[in-house]
Amino acid sequence: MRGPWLTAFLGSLLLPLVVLVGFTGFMSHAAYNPNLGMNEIVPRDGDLDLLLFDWPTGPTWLYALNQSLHTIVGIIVVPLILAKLWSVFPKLFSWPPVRSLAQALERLSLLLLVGGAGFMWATGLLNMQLYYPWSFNFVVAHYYGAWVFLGALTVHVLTKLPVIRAAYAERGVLKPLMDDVADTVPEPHERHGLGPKEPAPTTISRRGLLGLVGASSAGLFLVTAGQSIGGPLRSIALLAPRGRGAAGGEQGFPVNKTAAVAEITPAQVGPDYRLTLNGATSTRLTRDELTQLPQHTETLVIACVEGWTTKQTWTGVRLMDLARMAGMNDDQLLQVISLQEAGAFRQTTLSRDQVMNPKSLLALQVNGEDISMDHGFPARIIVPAQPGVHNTKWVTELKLVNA
Amino acid sequence: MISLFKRVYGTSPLHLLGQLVAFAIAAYAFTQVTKVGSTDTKSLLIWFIGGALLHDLVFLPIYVVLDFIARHGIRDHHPQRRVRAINYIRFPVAISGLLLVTAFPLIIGRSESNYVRLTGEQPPDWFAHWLLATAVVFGVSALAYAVRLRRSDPSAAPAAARADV
Repeated sequence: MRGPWLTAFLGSLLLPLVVLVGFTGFMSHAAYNPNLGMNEIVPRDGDLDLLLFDWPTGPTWLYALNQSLHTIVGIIVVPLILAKLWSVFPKLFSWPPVRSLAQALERLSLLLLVGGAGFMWATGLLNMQLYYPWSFNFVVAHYYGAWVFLGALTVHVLTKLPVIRAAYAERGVLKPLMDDVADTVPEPHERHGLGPKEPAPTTISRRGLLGLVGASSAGLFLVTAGQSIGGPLRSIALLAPRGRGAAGGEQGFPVNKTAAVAEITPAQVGPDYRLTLNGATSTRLTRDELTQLPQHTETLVIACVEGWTTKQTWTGVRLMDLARMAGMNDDQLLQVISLQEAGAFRQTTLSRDQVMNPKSLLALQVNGEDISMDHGFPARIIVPAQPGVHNTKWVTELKLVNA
Repeated sequence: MISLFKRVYGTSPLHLLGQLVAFAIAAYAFTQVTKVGSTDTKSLLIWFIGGALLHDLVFLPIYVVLDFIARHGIRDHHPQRRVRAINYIRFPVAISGLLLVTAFPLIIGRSESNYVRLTGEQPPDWFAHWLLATAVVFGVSALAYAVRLRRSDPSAAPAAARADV
């Protein structure tokens, strides 16, 4: 069954999917607006800033779509990656291991490609499942791992183009898929090639093999995609980390981090709570005073980088109203600070577009109730189309900062 | 000149340039990631090299052995049997196995402590979910096999000469 055609065909299916996963990964990196304030997680040297831009605030489902594609396609492409690796397995043992300098270098760059793939998929899948058995920062390593993997992939595809072309020219692009089991003839054996020397009796056709890959992908899709797509799929998302969400009620949607984990104390959110607006002047507002300001209601999605989404109806004060109260001018950004005292996302800087979007709220209520402690009481940020963790909870201060 | 290069190197200079680009990007990424204080280089390399070997040295031996057992354990060429059983076993085993491989932290309870700590809730019984999904795929496969057997039964229907998967 193995041979240049099969490997070329599996690779042709794999390439656009992997490119999509890579593209959405870099989009997600840009969505955190790492060039603003102290948003960066991957240290910025300035040399790759050309990839960054002010992440848009609409359509409101933009980040949900991006992360759903990144995680769902990332998961369902796993069977195809394994089939591709299976198809080239004999190369691992080709003898002699090194025949020329060129081949030695190519084998080394294949280590980058396969190691990069293993690294990216293993860390990505485990991170989604809240399991971190490593000693490095996931975001930093997953970001730079993508460079290693996609760099090696580009070179690999270009190097193999002649082989792919030859395989398709010889056997046709789709023609080998027409064969039934009985007509499935192994690809010929060549020295240092992929075709089997002593092929076992055929028990599956080539389209059967692709069916096996496709059925496996479909299985993975059915039990995981519901946490992103919602609807009826959510109820069958048996192996999604955030499939069913939290227990019922109006606020029974997933909590990323509870108030207890963030070490928010009842005293901090009690009658002494004040929201500080720091700009040209400094204003302190009680929660009651916030509820006296004009209230707006928006139905917006929270989309986590890990792929899960939840759409809820939020009520609160427009960020632009608060920013104007603080005297925001055209060159300024808004830094949001949480009561949470530690953690990478205790503060976030929002772009001017994000602040001035009429849908962006300092939310006080969700689905008609005061927001619960775990969802960010007394007040949380909700900004359309931005990564979930930038919707800061337990907000204590909004501070104008110069861009 | 080019032919001399080809003799020494093995193929065209373009190939060399391409490989060097891949190494340069990797070297750049490596220096960037190791600059970060929290990076443990050893852990990083273990995950990278491990990632390269995971399929060939862990997954492949397992599924090759399983497939060998299935191919030799099933008398699939019985003269009375017109539909081979092997692929109706391969499919559910592959699907169930892939669910296990991709979601093992949930299934074997590796996610539980962080899940409880971060979300404040007890997680669902993912192991039971995996068993349920496994039961469903085996059930669907058995059903498909039964349908195919019936369709190919010469005493039941005339159009039995359908090709296998």
